[in-house]
Amino acid sequence: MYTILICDDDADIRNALRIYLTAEGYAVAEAATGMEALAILERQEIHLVLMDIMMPGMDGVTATARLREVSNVPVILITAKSEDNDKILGLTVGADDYITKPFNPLEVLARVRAQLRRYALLGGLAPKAAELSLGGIVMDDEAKTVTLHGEEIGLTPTEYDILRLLLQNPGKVFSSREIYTLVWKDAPFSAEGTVPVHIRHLREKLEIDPANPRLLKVVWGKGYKLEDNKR
Amino acid sequence: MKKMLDSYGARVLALLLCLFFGLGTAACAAGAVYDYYEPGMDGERDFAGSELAWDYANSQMWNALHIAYYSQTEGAEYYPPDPEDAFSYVIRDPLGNVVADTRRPDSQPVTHSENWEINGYTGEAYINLPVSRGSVLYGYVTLYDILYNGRIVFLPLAVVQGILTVLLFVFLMAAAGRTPEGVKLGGFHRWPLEIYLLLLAGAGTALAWLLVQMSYRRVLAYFYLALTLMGACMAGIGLAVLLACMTLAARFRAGKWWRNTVVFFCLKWCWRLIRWLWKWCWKLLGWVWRLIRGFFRGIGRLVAALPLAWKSVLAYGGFVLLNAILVFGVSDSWHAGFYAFLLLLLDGAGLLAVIWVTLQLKKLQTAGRALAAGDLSVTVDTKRMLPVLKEHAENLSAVSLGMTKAVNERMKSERFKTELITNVSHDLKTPLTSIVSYVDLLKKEEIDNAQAREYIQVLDRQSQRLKKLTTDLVEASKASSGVLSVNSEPVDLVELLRQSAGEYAERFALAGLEPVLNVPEGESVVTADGRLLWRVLDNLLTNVVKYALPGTRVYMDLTRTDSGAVLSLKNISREALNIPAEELMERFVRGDASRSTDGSGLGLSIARSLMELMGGQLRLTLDGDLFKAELIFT
Repeated sequence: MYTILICDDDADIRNALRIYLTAEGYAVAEAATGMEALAILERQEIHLVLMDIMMPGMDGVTATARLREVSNVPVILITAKSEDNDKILGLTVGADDYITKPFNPLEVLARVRAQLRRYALLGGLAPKAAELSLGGIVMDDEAKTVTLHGEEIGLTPTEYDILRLLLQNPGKVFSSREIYTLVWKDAPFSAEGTVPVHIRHLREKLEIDPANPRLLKVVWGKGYKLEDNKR
Repeated sequence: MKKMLDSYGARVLALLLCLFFGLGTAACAAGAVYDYYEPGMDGERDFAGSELAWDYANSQMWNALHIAYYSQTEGAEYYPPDPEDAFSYVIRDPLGNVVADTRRPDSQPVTHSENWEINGYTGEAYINLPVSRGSVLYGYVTLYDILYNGRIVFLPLAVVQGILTVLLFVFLMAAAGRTPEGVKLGGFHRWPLEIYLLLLAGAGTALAWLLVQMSYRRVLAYFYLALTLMGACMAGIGLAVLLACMTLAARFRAGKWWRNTVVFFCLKWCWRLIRWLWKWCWKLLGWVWRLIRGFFRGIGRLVAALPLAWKSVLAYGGFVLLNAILVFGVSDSWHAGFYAFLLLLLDGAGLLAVIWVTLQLKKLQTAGRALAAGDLSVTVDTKRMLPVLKEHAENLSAVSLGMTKAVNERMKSERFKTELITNVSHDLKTPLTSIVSYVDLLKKEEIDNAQAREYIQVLDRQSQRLKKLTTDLVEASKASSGVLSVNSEPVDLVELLRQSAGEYAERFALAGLEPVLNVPEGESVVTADGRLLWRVLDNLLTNVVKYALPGTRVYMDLTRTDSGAVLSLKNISREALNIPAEELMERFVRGDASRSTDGSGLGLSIARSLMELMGGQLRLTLDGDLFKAELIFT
């Protein structure tokens, strides 16, 4: 059984999160401040931390940075700040994911599950030669299967080809035209309009919140890229 | 002891005693020294054999010998000198014959030293004792008697008195200047220090005079008088020395010993006089300077009051006039060279002046250009500038200063706005999160009451709406206040349009709409923030999906213009729109009067703000049921 530490200065939010998480079968520890959270982490074995950013005293970003000095535990930031800078700062100091307030409880649960699976698999099997992997996605090019955090996901052949192209070039931005040329092996003749649709489908299968993708990102006006914040 | 130190009586007594013992010490010491060096003082009393007797006889003997010698050798008649009653002599020629003999029966030979001799003539001196009072020799005898009689006691007396003198002197030094109320300079301590020097000098001079007189032996005839006078002089000197030492000690004790001296007084007054003179000299100089300056300033003001044009005319006119005068001067053959030199000098100065003004103008031009280019840190060095140009330069500086101030002010208010929005957004979102979460939990509870279940449904729906509304509101305020940061970069509108169409493919299908893309060949790149642009399109496409008539087409066109591009979305509205297009972009204005559909009424407002943030424009047109939104990039 996993223990999850909830760190938020708002007691009602802590309470609600506890109800959801215990219902899913997780054990829960609670902290109202960053200092308290760090103290609990020293005392008790914690498998995942849900950390609010805006707290009196020590804020969540500082607490995450301090926590990272001693622990490798996954951290999901909960933030009312939807500014990109805050997200980037949070991820830079060592957070693994983030959720913006007001959040959907189901999304929280999904992200907790994903991070825990990843944490459990961390340092597990070394990828085989024919395997491509990134941010929990593992593609076995011989068996033609794709798993996400160990769970197999069904992809159409086109989606599979697009994903393989992106997996082979992590971080690189491909425009619709390029993807079309490389995957369909054909000159684009106003048929590249189908690429965004396939990408959208792929995102729906890979991402918890397709509108705010963490892996398969849309670079608006330029193309698409596959990237993991945690290398 | 302290009482004694403070007492005046003790001090006066000590002073007198010190003086007395001091003099005694000096006298006894002199006697002891004399006795020590003088032979015969420790034997029988023998005045005739003493140095004093010899000293007495010496001068008289020479006198007699000379007279005897000359009378014998030059054939003159011998007149034996008339010696004093107490002196006798015998003179022999080189052969030993007695030339003169004035001895009496009671004459005693003077044996202290060898006999007197001139070219073979020798003399023997004798003194006749006893000596009568009033003769010179009587003084010698008295002195000899004192020295002889005191030969044993002089040294111990000198030592004892010396010790007493030193002790008393120490006491006096310790007591000097003291009063029962502390150290105070009163009485003779107030006299200028030089008075003691004068006293000392006076007594010293008297002593010296006396000593000179003593060298004439006659004085010894008045032996006691001389002794008294000498004692008085010595006492005077001693008193002066003691008083000087005391007052010096007292003044040292009180500090600043040099204060009460004539020299200091004079120097002080001299210093004051010099200072006073110095001040007045400066004042005088200042007046003169001000007079001169005022004169030139008056002229300067007169010139300054003239309009710029007149000033230029005046300057140029003066230059030309001087030139003309000098040219006339050159025609004077006598001093042509001199005038030509002056003319050259004048024209050189004119050239320099022109260069100088040009350089200043150049400086101003540079500053103005920098200011125009947006460099607000422009300052012009106005030192040594022409007043007219200086004013201009200062105006430039003032403009840059004012602009800097305005920019700072603006930045401050921006920061404040950002902070406000961030905080408000946090404070709104936190309770909202709780509401959404607990409504969701409530939904999952098993409730038998159908009514309650219905209420929860309403709560759920409304809280979701509130959530959307809040998010949009924060977004709208961010967009319209310009707090949002814009990351401008090249964006391909063709790609963007395709991506957007791809995102909405399923929702279009669900709404029964058919998207039609009309894009030019190749890329169509503009400078914008891709993510913000997507938000604009997202908002517009949401509206399309929400309000378009099912079964119609949605046209998404991209056309290039000379300066940029226009992206237009066209659809047929399901409902008749009875409001002007401009009003649609106002906040909280929605196409359907009933407001039955979900949405905040902020979508178009946000879209417009974002477009304006990126330097673009959103234009809406309504033509019957045809709704057209155009994103204009320039």
